[in-house]
Amino acid sequence: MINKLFIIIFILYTPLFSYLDPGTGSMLLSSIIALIATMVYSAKNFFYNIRSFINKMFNKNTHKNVSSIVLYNEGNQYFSTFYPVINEMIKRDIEFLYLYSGEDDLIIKSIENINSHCIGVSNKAFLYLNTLEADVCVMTTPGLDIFQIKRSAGVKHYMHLHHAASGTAGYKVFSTDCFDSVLVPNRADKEFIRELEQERNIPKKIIEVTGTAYLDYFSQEIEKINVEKSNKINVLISPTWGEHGLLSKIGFELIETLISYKSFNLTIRPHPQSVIYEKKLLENLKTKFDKNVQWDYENNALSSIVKADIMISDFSGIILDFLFLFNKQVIAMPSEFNYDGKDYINRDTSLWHTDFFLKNTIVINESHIKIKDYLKNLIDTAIQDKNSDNNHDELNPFFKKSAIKTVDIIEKISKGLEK
Amino acid sequence: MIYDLLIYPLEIFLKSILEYFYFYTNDYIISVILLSIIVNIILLPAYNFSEKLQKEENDIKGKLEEKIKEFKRVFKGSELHAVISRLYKINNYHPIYALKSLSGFMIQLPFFIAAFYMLSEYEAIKGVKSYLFNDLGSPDELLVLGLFHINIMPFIMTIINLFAVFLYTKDMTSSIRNQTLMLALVFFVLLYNSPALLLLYWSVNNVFSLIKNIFTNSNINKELKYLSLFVISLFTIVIFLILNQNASFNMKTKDIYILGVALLVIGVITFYFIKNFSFGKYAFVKLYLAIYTSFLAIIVSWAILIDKIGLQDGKYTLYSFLLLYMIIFLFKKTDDEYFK
Repeated sequence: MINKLFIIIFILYTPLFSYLDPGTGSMLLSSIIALIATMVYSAKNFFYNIRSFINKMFNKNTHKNVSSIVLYNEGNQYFSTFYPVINEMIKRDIEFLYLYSGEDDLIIKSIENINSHCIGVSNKAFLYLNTLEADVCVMTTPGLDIFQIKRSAGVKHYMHLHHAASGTAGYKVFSTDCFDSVLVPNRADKEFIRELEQERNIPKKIIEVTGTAYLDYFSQEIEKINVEKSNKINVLISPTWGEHGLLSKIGFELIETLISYKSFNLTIRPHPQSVIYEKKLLENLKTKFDKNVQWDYENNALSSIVKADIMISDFSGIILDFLFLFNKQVIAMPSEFNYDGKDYINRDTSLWHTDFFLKNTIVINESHIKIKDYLKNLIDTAIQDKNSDNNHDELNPFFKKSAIKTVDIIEKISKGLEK
Repeated sequence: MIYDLLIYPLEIFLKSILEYFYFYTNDYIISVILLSIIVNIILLPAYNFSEKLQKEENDIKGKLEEKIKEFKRVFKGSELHAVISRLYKINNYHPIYALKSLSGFMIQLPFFIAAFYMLSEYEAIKGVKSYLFNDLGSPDELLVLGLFHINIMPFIMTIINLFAVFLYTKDMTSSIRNQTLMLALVFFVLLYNSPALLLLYWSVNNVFSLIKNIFTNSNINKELKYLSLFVISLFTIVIFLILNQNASFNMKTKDIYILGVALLVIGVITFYFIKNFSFGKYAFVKLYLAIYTSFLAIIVSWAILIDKIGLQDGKYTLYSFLLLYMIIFLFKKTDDEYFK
């Protein structure tokens, strides 16, 4: 296409190009390519701007907020993060507005009489948020001002509340860049964000270590769950998803081997993304191993985790929850992570949770599964000698007090803004 | 207006150089060769400057391209656009900056146009016999095969051009090489029926850029560099021998002195602007101000020289001075504002 374009241009402007030497010729060619690229880029920019402009025109934000603190919960996957924080805020009598997207929001169902408003999903929600008015807006959704949620002129301070014990390194690229403050699980994560800021030459934001709020909620809920006594060992398989995940790599072999030992109760909890993107694989596994295996599709992994005596996983974030909450043994098969499009890529230092996994789990590889009774012996011995090192304060500070710390920070920042 | 202001003075500039040389050598071929060499020497610093710009552009682009490739594997549609926009923003980049590489072309463009108009409509060379050529103002038709007259100059020009292409694109991707090769062949077709003198001018231009490429390309071995130096010296000696035999060659010391001073002034001004340039936020503004200021300095210096040798055109001298004054004023302002 571009070649044809050049020929047309040459025919039109013959005299002009008559004195080109090769150097200039190649400059001209690259310039034309650049011009086309710029045109495409600008056209796209124009299209996306027009789209958001039209949205703004036709959907005026009628609900103006008086609350100085606004919490936005994108969906029920963040329920356990918000639940302890909101409870703490109610306890301290802090006024806030709770915004949510899903109609079946669990927070609304479980906490009564909170000042709340349903803002709908996708475009409707983005529009509302992009014209929001508040002092502090707290959200778990990353990518502010990068993806659809833009900074609203009416909001003085945007705060990101992290929603995984593994922190922000696994987020999509630029995810924390445009927040005014970020609450992170531990110091290692704080250093990681500082590193990004320096590398990108962007202003330093407030970064506070607050621990992981949803572990507060989990540790409370664990006490309510009754575990049925069984003389078999409960094994939980909880992989990540994608081609490097445990299930797609050696799923059949692993499950078959474990079933053949007959001394284990096997539970499999596929990654929530697997349920969406790897339907076929899960169906195949399910039809083959339906009778001998329990499949867990619950909203949170809690009941499976509580029940399990030992976990088998690749390097999935769920290992952190398992170790931080119970300190039970984990057998892990390291998988290659693909960090394309993530903040963590091309770094000299390894990710803090990779180091943690290597230190605190029993690492095996694929060939071990084929060795007769290897897995059985491994599990039996692992159950007997408990995980000795159960001090994770360094990586999981403010354990069971994370919500208190989080609300401290929210309060401090909103008071600072009032002044 | 634009033609009057920019192209026409240049045309006079080129024409007067040509006529100046012709006046002393009485030989259009030698004059055109000298004209081409002088124009290229004048353009050399500007050309290097834009090469530097292009290199800068390529560096940052290479860095970003890798990242964009990674993003394209993961993101789609509006998300892809969002992350790429962000990437540009934190790197202070915009795709339109790729046009920086056009600056080299922008500097040369007026010279191209002026030379083209000047040589293709030059009445004085029509019907002039010189050396092998029967008529400098029309295609050479040197090779006669039965009924067919074949022009030789386009072939010579293209062969030189092809050499230059291979040398220039030595380290580049094959697609760039193919495109540039295509360009050379397109020129062959388009310029096939042009006046012989025009083709000679362009061939010398290409020889010049070929030599420049030999010397600036670090990948080329020393032997080749020495060889080309030898060829250049040989060429110079031959020209002087021809000139010496020509009875009407009577360039005076004073005239050489004037020409030398003019070139020195041009060189110093161009050098000054290139040397003092730091590329910051307003690189574009600065760049174009610099280009046009030095550009006009050339015209003005030459206008003074024109008066000296009797090709007076007061109107254009006035134009040039006015523009120069305006641009120096503008530049001074930007200087104070942006260089702090």
